[in-house]
Amino acid sequence: MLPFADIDFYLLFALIVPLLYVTKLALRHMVGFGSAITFISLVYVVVYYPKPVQLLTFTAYQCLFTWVLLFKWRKLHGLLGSLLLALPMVLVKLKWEVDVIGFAGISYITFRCIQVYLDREQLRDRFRFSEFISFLLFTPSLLAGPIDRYERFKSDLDQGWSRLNGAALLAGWEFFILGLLHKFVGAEIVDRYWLARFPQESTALADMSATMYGYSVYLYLDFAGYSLLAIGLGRMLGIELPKNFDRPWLTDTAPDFWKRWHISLGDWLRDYFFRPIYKSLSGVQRLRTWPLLKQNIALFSTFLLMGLWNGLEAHYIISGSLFGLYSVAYNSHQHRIRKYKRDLWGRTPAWAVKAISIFIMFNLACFALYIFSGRFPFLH
Amino acid sequence: MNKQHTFQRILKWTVIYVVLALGMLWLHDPRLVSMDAAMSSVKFVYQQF
Repeated sequence: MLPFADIDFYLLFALIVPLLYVTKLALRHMVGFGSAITFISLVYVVVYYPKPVQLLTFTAYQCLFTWVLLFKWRKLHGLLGSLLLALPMVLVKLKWEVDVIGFAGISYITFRCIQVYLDREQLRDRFRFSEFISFLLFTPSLLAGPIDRYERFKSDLDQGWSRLNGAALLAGWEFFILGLLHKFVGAEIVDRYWLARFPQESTALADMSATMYGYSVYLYLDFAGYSLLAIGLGRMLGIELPKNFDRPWLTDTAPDFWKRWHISLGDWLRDYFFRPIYKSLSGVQRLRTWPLLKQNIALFSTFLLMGLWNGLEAHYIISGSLFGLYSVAYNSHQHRIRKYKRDLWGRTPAWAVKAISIFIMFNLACFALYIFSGRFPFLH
Repeated sequence: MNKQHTFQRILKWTVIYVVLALGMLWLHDPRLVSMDAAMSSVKFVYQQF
């Protein structure tokens, strides 16, 4: 059973969470909090997760190479090390021997390993193997994030059993209830009574528009709901997973959209892809006098990678490229304003500019997500 | 101010629970939930602890 997908998952954790709180006083004298969390995650993976052999083999590969890269091959270039860690995920995405190594959630474990590797200078002294396994396999975030950071996760584990308290339980419960509401009521209504009414293959503008807005709302409710469930269960288990959505439809610029939509992925891509690319482009002699071009290349590559990560199908690549183009256009426009001290909006009141920007960004984001969905009829 | 905040919070969560309960009853028929899954989960956790 996948996390949050089956009734038995909820029942399992409806038993585990109260048991953990009830037996906390006895357990704290016997085992560490980190060990208990690792035990729960491992038991779930071994007994309940689909394809546990593949997942455990992959985790062993990642643990081995992360350790080797951290402590033995210290001088290896960061890009080569990252590619080594990303290799199984790339092979799965290329559909090479999928059944042998593929399993749900491979990308998110890979992202976590690359984060630890690229932050190796700060993390080397604090790296603990059992905590790392717990970080990779933590049940609520195993399948689809939010993508946590090792140092943040470890700081929660370091606080020990005191993480399990009434405030954490209540906060987690509230996130959990909101997640259920988003995913099992909101998304379900949109799917059944909105999306199902419009034929996907129709090229009529009204049908396409209805599908475009419907899918965007559905994806938001479904994914934000899933993230809220993961955050809620994580909090009840004493781990404060990062926020993943923050009212994304109120965003007025393309870069801001990715600070509000799938935040943990946006932050990960910024820190471990955009910045290294921009830094390496800064070393290219010919680009030294072209700061805008450097930024735009790094921005576009980041969003293109995001599209490619979802799969090699045209709709994913075009969707990623669209988000890249939005960001490049906004970045170039901002550069122009700074350079010529002249704004496109002239004397338009600030509130009107904000409202128009939100409207434009909402439609642009919906269009890119519509392409992403694979439902755009002209791409079939 | 504090009283108003508490009242708003109670109101907000009452609405959320009511919408959730009605929505779940309407969209996910509880009679279709398999009890086999429930029994296997209970049995497994019981064995572990």
